[in-house]
Amino acid sequence: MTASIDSSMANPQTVRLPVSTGIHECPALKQQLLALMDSAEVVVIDVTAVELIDTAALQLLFAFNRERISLSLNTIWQGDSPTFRNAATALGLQLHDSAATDSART
Amino acid sequence: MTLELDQFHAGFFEEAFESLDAMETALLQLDPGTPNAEAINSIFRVAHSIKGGSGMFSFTEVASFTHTLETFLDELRAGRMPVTRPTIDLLLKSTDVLRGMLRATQHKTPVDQQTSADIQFDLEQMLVQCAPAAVAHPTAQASSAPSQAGVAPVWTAALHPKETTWTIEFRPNIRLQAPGADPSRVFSELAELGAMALVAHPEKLPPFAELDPEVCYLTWTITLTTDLPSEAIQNILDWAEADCQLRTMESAPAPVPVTPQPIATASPSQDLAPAAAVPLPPPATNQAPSGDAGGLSAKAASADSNSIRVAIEKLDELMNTVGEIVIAQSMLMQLVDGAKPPRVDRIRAGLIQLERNVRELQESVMRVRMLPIRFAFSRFPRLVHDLSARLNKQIELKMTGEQTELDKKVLEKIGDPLVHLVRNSIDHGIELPETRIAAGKSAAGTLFMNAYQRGGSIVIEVGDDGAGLNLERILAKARAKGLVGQTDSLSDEAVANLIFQPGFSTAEVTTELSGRGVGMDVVRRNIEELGGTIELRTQAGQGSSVVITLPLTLAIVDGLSVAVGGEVYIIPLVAIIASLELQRGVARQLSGIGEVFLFRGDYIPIIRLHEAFNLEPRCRDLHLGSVMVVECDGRKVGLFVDELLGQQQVVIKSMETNYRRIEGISGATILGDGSVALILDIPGLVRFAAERSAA
Repeated sequence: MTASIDSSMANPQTVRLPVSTGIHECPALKQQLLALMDSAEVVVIDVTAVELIDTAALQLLFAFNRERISLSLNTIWQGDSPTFRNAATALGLQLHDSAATDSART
Repeated sequence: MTLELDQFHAGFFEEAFESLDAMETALLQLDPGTPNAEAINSIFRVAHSIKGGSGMFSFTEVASFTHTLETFLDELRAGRMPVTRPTIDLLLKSTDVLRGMLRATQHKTPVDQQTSADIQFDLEQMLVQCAPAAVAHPTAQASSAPSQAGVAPVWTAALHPKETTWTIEFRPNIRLQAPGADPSRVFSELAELGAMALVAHPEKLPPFAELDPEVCYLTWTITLTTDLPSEAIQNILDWAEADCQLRTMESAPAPVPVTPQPIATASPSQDLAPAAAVPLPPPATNQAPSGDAGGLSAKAASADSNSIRVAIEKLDELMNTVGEIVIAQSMLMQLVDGAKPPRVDRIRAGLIQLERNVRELQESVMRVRMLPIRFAFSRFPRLVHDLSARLNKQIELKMTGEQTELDKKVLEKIGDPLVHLVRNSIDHGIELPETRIAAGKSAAGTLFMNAYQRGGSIVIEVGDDGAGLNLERILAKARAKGLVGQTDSLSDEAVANLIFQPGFSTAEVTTELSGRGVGMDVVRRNIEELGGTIELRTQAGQGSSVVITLPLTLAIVDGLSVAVGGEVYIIPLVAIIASLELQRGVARQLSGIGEVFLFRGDYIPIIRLHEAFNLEPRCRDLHLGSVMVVECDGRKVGLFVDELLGQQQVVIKSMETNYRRIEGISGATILGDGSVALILDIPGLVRFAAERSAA
């Protein structure tokens, strides 16, 4: 399964991470994120469904987030997934507020 | 369960089974006298990684067993326990148990808890006997949190009461994530040892557009405070050492873990940094592993990072498509042959180029399907080890040509016949040491397995330097069973070939290994079903060998097309001895056999294909058509056809898959004009002739 983009709203664009967000999903996810990198003012990444995630995916999301910040663009992390939260923390990466519901913003 | 989780499980099991195979090979190569430290380390890493993976997936029974196994191996690795023959045997049994547990877990069937408990008990007993210090105080075991599998490290806090802080620079090699180890697994295991904090360094991350998801750009500095010795840390880092640049150094004072900052709250103006230093949470139970079983396989994967796994179904589809292209190209060529100048020459030149390219493509696809025969050979060191011990024989296994490649489907089907042959050699061929010495031989017999390519075929030889076949006894048994007439005279070769008869066995005692006479006929049938042949060579007192010749692939066959009535049939070239145009009157009718003719001194039966397939022939007189002499099982048969059409390579289409099995037909193919031709099943037709004459 790949991440889905909800473009029903003109802005922001929402990327829903799949249940399993692993190295095999990364190429497709990267293309989706790349398309949004400087085209969307606000990108919402919904982590709610994530039940499995690995270092490759977290590194990708981290790099996306980092570059968006350097471009002064907003990325919103939506939803809460203990798996996502724990995995990011385990790697020492700040991505997502553990108490986030729908408005944690970077 | 989600599809994704199934995929992760599948990856884990695949890697774990491969690692177990490698572990078994390493165990069999372990020399009890002078054990190879690196081999023990590799074996340890397999157990460690399977434990990690199974713990991550909550396969608690597997994790518990591998924990004991890992503890046992750690004692060997540290030199606290000697590597002895019983130790190796116990470890081999452990691989069997582990394989069974993994298989049961994979198929969601109950694990054989009794067997695993027995072996686990044996491991623990041997640990107590050989390394009392390590387990003498189970209640004083490490203070660190139990692992996911509910097991704790064996390091005793009492022995190392003083806390030490370690700094680990963790720089994964560039391909750490593909296809194997995930750093988070290392971190979660380290976190079990004590208070841990880590800082991620993202400096090497490239611009997002250039980021390769399979490359790990992040590095980490880990600070770990623990009362356990450095070996406990090294244990965890060891398996990653091949893939990571690790630097471990003692430091003081102990760091104070930094409370995680509120994260994901930076405004666009804030540069998002990795957490300054975060203590690791309890080991996550559902981080996506990358299916790595580490250790031996991780090394192999690392060395082989330019390869990918492809499902065989995809290769079958590819091969099928290439076959269709071959047919389409052939059709075009036939159309052009009937066309007229002036442009036809240029079209023909283009088609000839296309034909060359298609043939190259076909060969490339075939090569993709090829695997080294070592995948089939790899089981034999263990088999020989176990059987020779059980039979009190000394046997040295010599394998050569393991890199010889053959089609994966052939490879899958050759395993069982080879097991039969090896078992026969061990059970019947190679003598007991005292018998060998009495015969002036070395006490240890040699079992050899060899594979090589010869033309478009693969040859596999399995043999031994044992007693050879007792031809007199075989003949006597055959006469007693009525397989051979009391006065019939048979050549040595013919007598030896009697062992391929169904139900034939000269074994005086039916053993667990052999002697029921259900082996060699099955071997021959399996080989013939693969389109191959089997040949037996034996010399009294010197040994026996079986030579199997197999086609390189099951996807394509070189054949001769023949016409019968309005149909075209393909006869595999490998089976053809001769094609003849018989003179009038040379065929005779023999009672009990039917129509025969004299060929090279023997009368061989004739099968009129139009009768066998109930067709209206163009000719019924033998001298007006052709007779193809084919051979199988040492029996020759003449196939009467209307006309020979020509030789060609055809792509085999399965009858069973596309229609149903038909007697006398092994498959079908599509010819250049788009029509379907059936491929003759020569073994089946030869059997048909034999049954007809026996009826």
